[in-house]
Amino acid sequence: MEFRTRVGLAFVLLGCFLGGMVALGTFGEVLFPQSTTIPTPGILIDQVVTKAGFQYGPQSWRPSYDPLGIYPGKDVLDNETWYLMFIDLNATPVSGDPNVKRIGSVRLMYNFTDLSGRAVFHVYGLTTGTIPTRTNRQVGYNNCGFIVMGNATGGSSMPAATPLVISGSHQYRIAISNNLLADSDDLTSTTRILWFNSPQSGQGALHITPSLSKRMGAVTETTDQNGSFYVTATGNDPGNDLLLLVAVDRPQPDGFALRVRTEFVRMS
Amino acid sequence: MAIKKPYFSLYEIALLSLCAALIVVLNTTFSLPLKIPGHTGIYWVVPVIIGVGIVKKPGAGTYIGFVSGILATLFGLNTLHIFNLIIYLALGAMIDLVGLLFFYRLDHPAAGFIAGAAGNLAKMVVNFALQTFLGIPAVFIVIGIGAASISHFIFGGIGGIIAALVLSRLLKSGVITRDEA
Repeated sequence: MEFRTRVGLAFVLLGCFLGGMVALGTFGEVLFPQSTTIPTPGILIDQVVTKAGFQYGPQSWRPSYDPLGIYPGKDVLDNETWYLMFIDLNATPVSGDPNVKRIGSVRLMYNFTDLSGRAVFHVYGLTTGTIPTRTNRQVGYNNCGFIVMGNATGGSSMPAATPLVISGSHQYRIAISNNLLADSDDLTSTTRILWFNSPQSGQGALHITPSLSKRMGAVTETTDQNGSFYVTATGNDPGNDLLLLVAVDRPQPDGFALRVRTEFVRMS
Repeated sequence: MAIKKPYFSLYEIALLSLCAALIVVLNTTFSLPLKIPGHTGIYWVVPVIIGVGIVKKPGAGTYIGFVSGILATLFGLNTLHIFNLIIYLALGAMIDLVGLLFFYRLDHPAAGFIAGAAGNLAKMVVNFALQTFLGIPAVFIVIGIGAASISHFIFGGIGGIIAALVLSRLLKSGVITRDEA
């Protein structure tokens, strides 16, 4: 067989292989359906936060390399005013080394009391070293987020909130609200570092989904004041801890409370 | 008593071992901020193709893969530890196979491209197979496997062309010849 014929044949074989891989990637979730999931015994956190937990705002953006919009699928809308709260979930969708340890997801259960207007959930994956902080994709293909609509009467102010300042170094030291118990005014919060190294960085690894059949995430809007969703991870290192961002679009009433519980759900 | 001639001469063993060491050096020193699966193939396949293209014997690529796999395991280049050996072996064996298919004319850019792309894809397939074997659910592996395959193909192919051009220059300058190493 001539050299040129062999080259042609090799390209055809490689083309067939690539075609097969693309088909596998396209229909992979159908061919390999989600196996059964098993919640790991034990709740990772069980926290109740009040309106005092909203330590940031009013503002129209959430942290990333460049400011991101807050409502899923939307860019920054300057006329919007959101109040932000960060909660350390003490959880990660991957346990240990992603190559050799168990992979699963984090199930987050929420219970709102006296929610007024819209509440949006986003997540950040806290990383170490030179790996940028992860977050769920805001706009474009596979963007995701979770929105809860409440009908309580709004409050007049959010006294604990001050706007975040956009960081030129793309690094944010964020105060978490975990220590703000429902009946406490204790504001001795610890902080976490969010760091981004390039536009769009860290937006492909973490996803928010109402169902594990959609591992790449989805945008969900619900009026259910008590519900749950999953945080899943695909691709790169999702980080060693998750930070939950809860954003509300107006001042909340004094009776506002949010209970957050997380559990690790592994795949069998 | 006739002394049995070894399959690889001392010169060939030294050359192949240097190529294997070069893979580890390149992997350690180069850190391209591309964030695209398989992008390391652009330099990873180069020493293997050059080694196979110079020695022109079946098993040369597998030898490079074996030695570089051991070095990568010892230096802890990635998280698969001892399983690195299998990945590097697959890459070397595939380039061996392609070299055989093209009569070791790996100085030709088309043959170099195919050798690099096939080697990088072999590395990817073995890597995914190992991860599945180690308990990663298949659904995680197949999400994005299409894009990963294409990027492995392209970067491996570019690395193969670079290797072919280097081999071509070595031939033209007379450092190596077509008939013998």
